[in-house]
Amino acid sequence: MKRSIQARFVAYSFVLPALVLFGTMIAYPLIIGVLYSFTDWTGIIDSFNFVGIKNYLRLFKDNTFYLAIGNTFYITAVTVVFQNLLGLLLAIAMMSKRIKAKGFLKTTFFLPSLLSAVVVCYMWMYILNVHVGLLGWFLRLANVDRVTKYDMLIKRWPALTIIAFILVWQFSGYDMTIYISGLESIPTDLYEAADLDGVSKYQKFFHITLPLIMPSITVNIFINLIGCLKIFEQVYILTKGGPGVSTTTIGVFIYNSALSANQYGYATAISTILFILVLIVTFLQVKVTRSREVEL
Amino acid sequence: MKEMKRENTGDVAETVLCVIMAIIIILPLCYVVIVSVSDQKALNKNLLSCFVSFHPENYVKAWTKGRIPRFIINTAIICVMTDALVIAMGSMFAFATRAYKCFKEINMFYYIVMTGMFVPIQTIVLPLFKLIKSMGLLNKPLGLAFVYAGTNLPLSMMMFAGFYKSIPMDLIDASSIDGCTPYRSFLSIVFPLTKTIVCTVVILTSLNIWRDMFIPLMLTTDIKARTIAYGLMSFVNEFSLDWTTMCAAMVMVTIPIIILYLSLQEYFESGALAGAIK
Repeated sequence: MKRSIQARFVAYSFVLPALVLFGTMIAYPLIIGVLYSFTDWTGIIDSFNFVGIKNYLRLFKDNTFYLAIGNTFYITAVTVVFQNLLGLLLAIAMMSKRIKAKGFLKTTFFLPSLLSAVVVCYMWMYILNVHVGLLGWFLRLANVDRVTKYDMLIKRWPALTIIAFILVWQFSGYDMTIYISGLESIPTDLYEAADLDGVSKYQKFFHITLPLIMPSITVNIFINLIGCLKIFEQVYILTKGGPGVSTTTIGVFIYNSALSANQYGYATAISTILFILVLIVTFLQVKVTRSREVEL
Repeated sequence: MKEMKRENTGDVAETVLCVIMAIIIILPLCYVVIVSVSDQKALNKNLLSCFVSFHPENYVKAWTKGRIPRFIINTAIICVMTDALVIAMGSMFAFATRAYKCFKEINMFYYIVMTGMFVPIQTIVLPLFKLIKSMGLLNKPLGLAFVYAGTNLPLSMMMFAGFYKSIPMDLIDASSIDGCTPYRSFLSIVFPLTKTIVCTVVILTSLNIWRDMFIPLMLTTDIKARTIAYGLMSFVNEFSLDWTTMCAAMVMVTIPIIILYLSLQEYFESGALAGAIK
């Protein structure tokens, strides 16, 4: 009995530092944040009043909120689909025996995911700028008069698509590395047995490869979803949520409500909704993709 | 014969995909590097002028006027502190989940901390600002290091726990029979086995800090306390029309992280492989 208490004491001493850090830096702010969402805290002065669910009622009547959710889901859907498709295709290509210079290609594909969003977004801004950028130079070469017609960042859907494109450009190499490790874990004798049975390449892909890399698909979609739903930096840099509020995402909406409008209480209400949204979406995703995983 | 042909078309498609992808990735990066050594005025007139002139002084200008050394030092200090925190705490916690599996609550704690992965930073950042301020750590590297350690802890724990699963319990038992205290067997037997995981966690955590703009944007009020990604933003506002200097700055802030990645690449690839799937 005494021994078990002592062992428990030792075990707790191993987990305590992490628990304290988690408690102060994640759990406490999360709980306080949810509490603030029921107040009219402005962020400037420390005093505030409890206003009940007024912030939430206002939120559900706010058109910008629905616009932000629509924009966020659009970016998320496009990014998750294309990033995984491209990542998987690249991984399959990297597994092929006849591709040369694999090390170079792998590093190249992975390279953009090392860069910060600030660098990547400014790079694409310079390329897509119609006045002085690369695109602008080509437009002048082609003697186009009204260059602003080709400015993709000042219209809602083109701008959102560009943001999704930049995410796919940057992170499909990251997805590729996870798919490669998934593909490498598939035993080759499965393919050899399939070859003996005269199975076609496509059947092999859909009946052997795909079910067995399901764990990698789960991990990738999970990481992509979490990243995309809280997207802020790319939108903030490329469009600032504009023109007007047309390209606002949930992340930008929170930032604007807190810092531009000084409505911290309202901003924490939005961010509480974002947290719940992330929980629901990722829970559903893991449930769906996990159910398709098979054991060898 | 037919089978052979089909396989060849597959190969051609794969090669074409790889080549196109490599071009789409490399060309924009080259564009930035080329612009970074060009003359702004000539560039506005004719883009091809970048191939005839060479202006390395853009880098000098970015380095001296853009506070870049300051931002790099800030980021490096925060990276080192955060890496140390998440490696120590993550590996200790993961060791407890392996060696003290008999205590159910340890496993429960593990899942509670893992939920941290789901918490969007936007949800906690406003209360964090108040917290950091009341701790007197506003605009201090340690303040940001604690925040980053909190957000990166679940990842580190997951990586270490995934690896410790593969360590035989006998190893820990044998050392305790030999008279090792649990602390001793953790420090001198289990932890030294995790070199690849340590490297992976260092790369991933440092990358997260190096790339992040949002946390310094929300949690620093002094321009001198900013990290590199947000520092670059302030640079943009000052030199918004001076693209050549901006590109030079972008190249400079990217180089350190690429060096870190290339030097630890081997460890990273094998470590990511072990941790990501489990």
